[in-house]
Amino acid sequence: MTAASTPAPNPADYAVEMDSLTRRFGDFTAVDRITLRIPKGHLYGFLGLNGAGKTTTIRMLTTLLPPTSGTAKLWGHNVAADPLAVRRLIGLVSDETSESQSGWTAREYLLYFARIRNIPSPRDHVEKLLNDVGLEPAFRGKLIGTYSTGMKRRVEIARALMGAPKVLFLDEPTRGLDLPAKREMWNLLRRLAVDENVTTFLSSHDSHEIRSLCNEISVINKGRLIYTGATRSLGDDLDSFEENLIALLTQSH
Amino acid sequence: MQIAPLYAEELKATMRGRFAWLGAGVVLFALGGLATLCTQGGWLQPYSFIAYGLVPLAFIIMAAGMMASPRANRFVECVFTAPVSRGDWLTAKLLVLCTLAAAYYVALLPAMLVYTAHVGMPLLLHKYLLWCPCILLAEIAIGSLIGIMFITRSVMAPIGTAMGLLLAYVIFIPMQEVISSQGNGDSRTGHLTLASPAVLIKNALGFAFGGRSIPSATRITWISLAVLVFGSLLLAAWVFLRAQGVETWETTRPKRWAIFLGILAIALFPVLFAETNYDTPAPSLNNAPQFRMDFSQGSYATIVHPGAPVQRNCCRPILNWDSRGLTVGRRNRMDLLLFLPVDPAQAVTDLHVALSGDGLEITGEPAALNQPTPQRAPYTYLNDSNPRIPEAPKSTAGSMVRIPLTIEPRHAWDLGNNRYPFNIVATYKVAGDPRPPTFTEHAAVFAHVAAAAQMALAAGILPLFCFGMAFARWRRTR
Repeated sequence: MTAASTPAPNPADYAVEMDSLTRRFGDFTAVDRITLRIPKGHLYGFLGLNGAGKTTTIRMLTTLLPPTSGTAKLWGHNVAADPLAVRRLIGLVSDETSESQSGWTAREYLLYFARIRNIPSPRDHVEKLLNDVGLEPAFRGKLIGTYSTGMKRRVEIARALMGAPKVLFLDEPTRGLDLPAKREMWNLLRRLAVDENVTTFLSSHDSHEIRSLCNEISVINKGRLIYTGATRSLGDDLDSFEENLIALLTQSH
Repeated sequence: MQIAPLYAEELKATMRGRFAWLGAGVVLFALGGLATLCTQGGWLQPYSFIAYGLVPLAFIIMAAGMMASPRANRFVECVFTAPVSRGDWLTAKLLVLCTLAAAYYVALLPAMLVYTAHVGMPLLLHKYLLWCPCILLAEIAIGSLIGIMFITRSVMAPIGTAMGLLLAYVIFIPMQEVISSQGNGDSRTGHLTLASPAVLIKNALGFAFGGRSIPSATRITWISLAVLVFGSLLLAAWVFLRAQGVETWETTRPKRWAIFLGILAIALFPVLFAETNYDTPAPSLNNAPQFRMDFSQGSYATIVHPGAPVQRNCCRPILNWDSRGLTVGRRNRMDLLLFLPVDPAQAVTDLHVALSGDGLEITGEPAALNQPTPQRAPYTYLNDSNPRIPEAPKSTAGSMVRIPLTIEPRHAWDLGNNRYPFNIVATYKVAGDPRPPTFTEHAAVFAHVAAAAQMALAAGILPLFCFGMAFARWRRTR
């Protein structure tokens, strides 16, 4: 059932390129020779069980973890050789990292990143981002530690959107969001893909979210890609999609 | 150039911690309170040692925590997915630590200025002013290395390690003074104490708190200090940039050996090579006169306010122990009460009293200091408390002579109570005794530099500012 991604005609059209990307921790191979290409402007799904290697892959692509071997490029920039160029292109939402700064307000948190990115008119930029993610103005000056999970998620997403990223890496981006907020977020991601050609690399356990947003997905298990292809190929409805996905993961076990 | 905005934001971020302003206020308030309290006793030794020595040593904990916490709480994931170079970030962090150290040093200035306005700049304070920034720099370097060496989800490990080192560094200070005073400065333990940067800097600057000797050569001590400080900083930078990823160790076996040997070299170089030739006498820490008093003996004299009665438990070698009241820089009118071990029934004539002091200007009426027939009042020593002065006969009953004086203490060498030597030589004749009795008293007086209110004001402004900032932030963000 494994399928290679269809190569785009021009390498310059790829937002993400991985070639035999591997990461080992001692004797343990977390990511094993992944080769994958994601065209620009795509909403791309990345699925796998817990511990399959999704987060390690994202951490390598976002320059947080150097690959043991192989290469990864974002918009043609090698993540290991030119991390600063890659960081100018990306936004990352992982677990609730804003929780680490629970003594800051959302404005302070985002202003920190706006200023270290040398964004002009940082205050205006921050307010616009907070409007985009729908954080109520009344909460923007309050400490992040007092926020609900959904509000913290919105702050994280606002940070990831800062500086108009070309590639968004989202690890469970809508976890903790209520249904309207989740819908707003999906619409925002679709709009970014269509209007600004933003590529989204979406890791999620939410099958509905993946099916709703992504045309193409990859499935990873034990560090290896076991499926790459169209989302619809795994099933026309959510039930068959989930059944096929489970079968795929069970089979590979 | 990325460092400037990073530095500015990291500096602001430091004070955004939930208890940052409050913590700074509490530390400064405690120090200010101590500075004020110490104006009632001695200021230079107790306050300065804590403010300029112990608290700066605690910067090792702050440095370790500040370096380790962004990885412990995963903030680095956000920072290093922004276009931030790790070298710039490390530089900005170190600059922030140096700024906090400088702010601490500046925060001590008001209290120090009150002190120097009254006392001037004694050697110990001069040395403290150099000792403190050197300690701050050393602790930032070592603390940063500790903070970088720990990649964990909790800051307890690096903070615990830093605290352990801090305790060792503090304990090594008195240990080194005792060992070097005993002439064992070059023993194994003596060498071990040089692992403390506080001891190294003290030796390099050439002073001792209570020890009798200091090293006569300091060249290798300075080199050791440089190895400790710059070695720690360089190793920290190399480990952070070349042996670690954002949140992971990325080492090879040769790199691990290089780190191990680097730490070993930094720790052992001062221990093995810094000078231990303690053969130069330690300099005097202030301008206080050197004198000794035997507190086990009583005294034949006391000083009270004009016309005041004698204290019940009279008399001590500090002549104004009970009445105090002498102010430095002021002409103080007091009465010297002299006790003659002569029965009140016996006639006493030709009393001559000569007074001298060190740092004191003592003036008395010639008629009071030279009395052909002194006016006496009977006095009885209670509970065998009569003094045991060798040249005077032991007697429980005697008589008291009151001599009005003006005493002006000059040249304070500390805030609070300064001890000034006060010498009394008295001769007189007793009817029926062919040999005129003489007694000499080497005593002292306390004179006070009144600076408590000034010190409280000077040392209270910054804590109040910090509390105000903490309150304002709480109001703004609640």
